[in-house]
Amino acid sequence: MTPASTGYSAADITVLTGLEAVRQRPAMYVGSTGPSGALHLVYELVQNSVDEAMAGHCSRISVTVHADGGVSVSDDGRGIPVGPHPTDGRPAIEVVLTTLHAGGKFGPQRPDGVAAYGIAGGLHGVGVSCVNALSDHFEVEVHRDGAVHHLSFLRGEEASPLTRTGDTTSTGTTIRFRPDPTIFEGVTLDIRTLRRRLQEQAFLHAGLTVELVDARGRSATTETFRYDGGISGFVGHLVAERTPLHPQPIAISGEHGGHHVDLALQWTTAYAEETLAYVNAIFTSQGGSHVEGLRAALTRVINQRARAEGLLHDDADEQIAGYDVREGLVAVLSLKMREPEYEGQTKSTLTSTSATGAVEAVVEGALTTWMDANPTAAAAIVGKALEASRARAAARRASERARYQSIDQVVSKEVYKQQFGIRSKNWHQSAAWITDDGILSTQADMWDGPDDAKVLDVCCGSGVVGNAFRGKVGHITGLDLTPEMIAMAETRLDIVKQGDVYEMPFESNQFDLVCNREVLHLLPRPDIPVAQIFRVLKPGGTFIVSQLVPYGPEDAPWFFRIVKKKQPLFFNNLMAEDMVKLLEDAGFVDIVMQDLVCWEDIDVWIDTWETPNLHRHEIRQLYYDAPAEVRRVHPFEIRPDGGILDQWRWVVLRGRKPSA
Amino acid sequence: MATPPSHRDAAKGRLPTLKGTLTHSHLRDAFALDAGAASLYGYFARIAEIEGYPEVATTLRELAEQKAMFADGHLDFLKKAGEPLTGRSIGETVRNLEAAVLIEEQDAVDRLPGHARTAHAEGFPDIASWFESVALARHHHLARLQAAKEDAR
Repeated sequence: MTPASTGYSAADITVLTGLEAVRQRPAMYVGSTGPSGALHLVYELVQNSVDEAMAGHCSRISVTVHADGGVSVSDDGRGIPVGPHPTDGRPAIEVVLTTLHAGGKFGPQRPDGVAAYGIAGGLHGVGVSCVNALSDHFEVEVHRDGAVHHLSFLRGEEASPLTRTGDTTSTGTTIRFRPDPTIFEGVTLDIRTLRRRLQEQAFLHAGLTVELVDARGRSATTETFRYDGGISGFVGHLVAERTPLHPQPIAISGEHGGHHVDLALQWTTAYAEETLAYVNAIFTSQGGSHVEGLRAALTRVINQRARAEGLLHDDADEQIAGYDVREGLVAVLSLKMREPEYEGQTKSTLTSTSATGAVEAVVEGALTTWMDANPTAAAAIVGKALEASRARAAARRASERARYQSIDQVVSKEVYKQQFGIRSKNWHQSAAWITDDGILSTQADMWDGPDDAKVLDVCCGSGVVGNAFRGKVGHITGLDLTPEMIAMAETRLDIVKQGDVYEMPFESNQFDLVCNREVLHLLPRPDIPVAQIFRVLKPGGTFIVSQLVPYGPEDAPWFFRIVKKKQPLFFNNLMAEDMVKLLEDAGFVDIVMQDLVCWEDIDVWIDTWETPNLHRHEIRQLYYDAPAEVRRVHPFEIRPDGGILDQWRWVVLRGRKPSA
Repeated sequence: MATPPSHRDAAKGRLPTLKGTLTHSHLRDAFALDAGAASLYGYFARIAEIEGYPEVATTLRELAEQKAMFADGHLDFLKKAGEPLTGRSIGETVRNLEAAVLIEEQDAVDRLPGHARTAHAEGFPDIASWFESVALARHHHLARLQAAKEDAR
């Protein structure tokens, strides 16, 4: 090798300036080059228009999604300045569109005491130039000072300079761009998420009109969002599918130390809490100091009220815990402040400590006043918190009772009746697996016997498992413990008996097929029902059973903790191998097993009365902090809003009772 | 137990041997306490966070961090005399891995299955299942540690 070819000089050092840096490392600026990155480009522009609205200069924002994958964002704001930039000399708009970290929101107050923007959101502080850099085509039209101006770029390079193209009396900015398909490969815009985001902005800014035009099809469709009720309307929208505890959302608005706090909240009869928090209209998905202030205030006010009403035992120094206070709460908190500080680039957590005290002070004062003026609603809210507190104690007692009785292997039927009867109302909505076609059809497909077979569905629940065999079998009997479930199962099965699995109310050698799903893990002695099933089957009869199981040794303890926190009656962390052994030990032969997966919305799954609020939070935390060993084998997804989707592993087994 | 070394040994310039002394057992106790407290305070911190006591959570987390450092300090002295779980001397990676393999073996093969049997006998089927789940993971950890030991050699 010659010295020249190994040379390493100043010329070899690449300095990425301006927009090429963005094109080389797009994920660093917009998070990803997938669907969320492409959406981020749209948000960046929308946020600029929203900032105009917050400054009082814009009343309408319109977003159009075009057939070519491009998007237009237009507003009736002041229009991006087109005059020469004082230090650069180029038109200001050109500087804004081609320089990172340039824009009207970085500057201090001008000498005349007026800042261009008092309070602004902005996303990652990279601005519209970043959108330009990542677009294969970028076109801007500004209406300002009586004239229409036009400017366009291709892949961040200027294609046509700033030109005055006509006269106008209006003001505003319209940008049309297309995310560069060579960067955002194969990405189509997620219009549902975009729609939610735009609606949210309309809720957060009372009086602002936000429009979404879908121009991809033959005829364009337009949706218009405008909510004069502001965030109270937002809470009303979120509560729509739940049952509210008091008729109207509580609206709180106040100033404290330069912080403007807007809060709307409403308690519902549901279990889960939903708090959405925003700082300068930016969603903080992981909460932060402002949410802490809200929580502290709620806990204090509710406890004070409960104590004043004589509902708490003073001698025992009884307290309602924060998570019990927030059970069933739907809240939207919007904080406006100068120079907020966040953890990390994505602005998911607010760290400004001043926000805690400000939110706490505003909420505590206003909520106390509201409760004094609305004693009936206040009593319902305090009562709900107390009930949550009591239910938590009761759930603990339920599992303790079950434990005591299991010493001599007797299970209290009452405990199970209590656990499964009460939630039967929304049975089919309580988890995706219950009506999942994959699991039901896999079970049904495993049946290879005659079409006049006599079937027993053990712990039939609402009868969907037995019903899945319909058409392939003759007569279907159900067995369940609770009157509520029996009533539901009777609509699907031919006959339903009340009874328990430890001693089934059937003669031996009765059925051609017994089916069962997701029950054995709830019993201290799963071998007893399996032996009972073996007994009631005719010789040569078939048992088909499905069970949720961990993926392997790596996630087994983690999975145990999650299920136990959700369901106090969880007794056996059955592995796939344990299921095979259970069947073998009972005498079943020709055992076959099939594996399948089913996505489960964890927030829905844990929204039941049997899961205390503390456990719900702990379950989410277990997902957020899942150890690397678990993540390697157990797929799950954390959505940007903190929601969790878990890909559950199911096994379906079939065994045969030997022929006589 | 070894003969207790006296002050005279130190005065003569000979350092006493730690193994078998009261101080050795105190270091082991201190390790168990601080390692346990580090984990306990981490657990408390998560609950404090959920209950809405962010400052308390920070305090607990900072204490947990300190406790973990204390536990490391106890190990610094225990290296030669033997780490607290198996009594084997530790220090460099190959020897550390040998100790770790022994810990997992004892736990996965012996201790945890015994715990599970006892829990069943005493009427705690869920706790038995918990021990079994942990034992299962331990077997997996054992395999990983054995592979790591091969790599380190």
